[in-house]
Amino acid sequence: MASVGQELLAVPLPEMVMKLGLGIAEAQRALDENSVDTASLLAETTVPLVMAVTQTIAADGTVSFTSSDPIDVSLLQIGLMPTFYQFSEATIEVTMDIKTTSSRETNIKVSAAAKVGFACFSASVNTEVSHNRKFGKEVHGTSRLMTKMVPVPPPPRIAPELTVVDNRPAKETPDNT
Amino acid sequence: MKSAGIGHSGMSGAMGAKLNVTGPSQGLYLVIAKTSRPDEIISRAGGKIAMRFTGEKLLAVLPFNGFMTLRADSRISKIGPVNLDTQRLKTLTNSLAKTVAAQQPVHF
Repeated sequence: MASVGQELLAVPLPEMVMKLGLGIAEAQRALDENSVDTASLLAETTVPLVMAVTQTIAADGTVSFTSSDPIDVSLLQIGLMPTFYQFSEATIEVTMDIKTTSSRETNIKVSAAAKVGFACFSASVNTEVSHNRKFGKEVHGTSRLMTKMVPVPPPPRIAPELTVVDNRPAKETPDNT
Repeated sequence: MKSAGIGHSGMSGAMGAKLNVTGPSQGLYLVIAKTSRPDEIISRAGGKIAMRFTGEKLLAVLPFNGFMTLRADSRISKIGPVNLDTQRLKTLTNSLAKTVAAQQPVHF
């Protein structure tokens, strides 16, 4: 009969770890693809952004507002980022409940018979010995796989940087004339 | 963190596995629906519309269960978690505001 130690050794732990690892890798790829898809949609979606509003108070006290022409910027540019997730932890828990029982039963049955007759004597002894050995084993096992994901910052170059190139001629001031 | 009775598959059923998926209680999601004005679909999933870009495209605040429900909804074309990078927004608005404001007349 296999010992408890052998039963424990029979748990396919390396296989479980390998499959968990492959599962995580596949899930991570799917998560990244989903985030990249979202980033693409965010880059394609633009919103008009009014960057300046001028409040004018006239001499008679009336107030008017004028706004600059809206600038179309993508959602990615205004800082709406897809959430990237990363697997940070994976745990495998294997719990085994092994119960082994062994019982031995020996039955001895002895019977004797004697017969006395005319010039004759007979006797017999019958012995019956029976051995019964019973083995019982119950194995209950549960496994628990747990993974934890955490949000991580998006790749730094996911959105284009805005660079302002101002080609207007510099205003003439008393210092630079 | 809330639990969701989701993620079950044929394999998990065959193995008698119990699956438990937990996520953030609420999150911001980009939702693109196949139908215009999916307000009712989002509302039924326990969400609120935070910003609408077009009839089909919007930002919604949803509980995690709602997100998983909408992911499986055939009327939703795409849904993905997003977050607002306030630093990037500040940098962009500062940069653009300087340029645009310089072109605007200012009256004092």
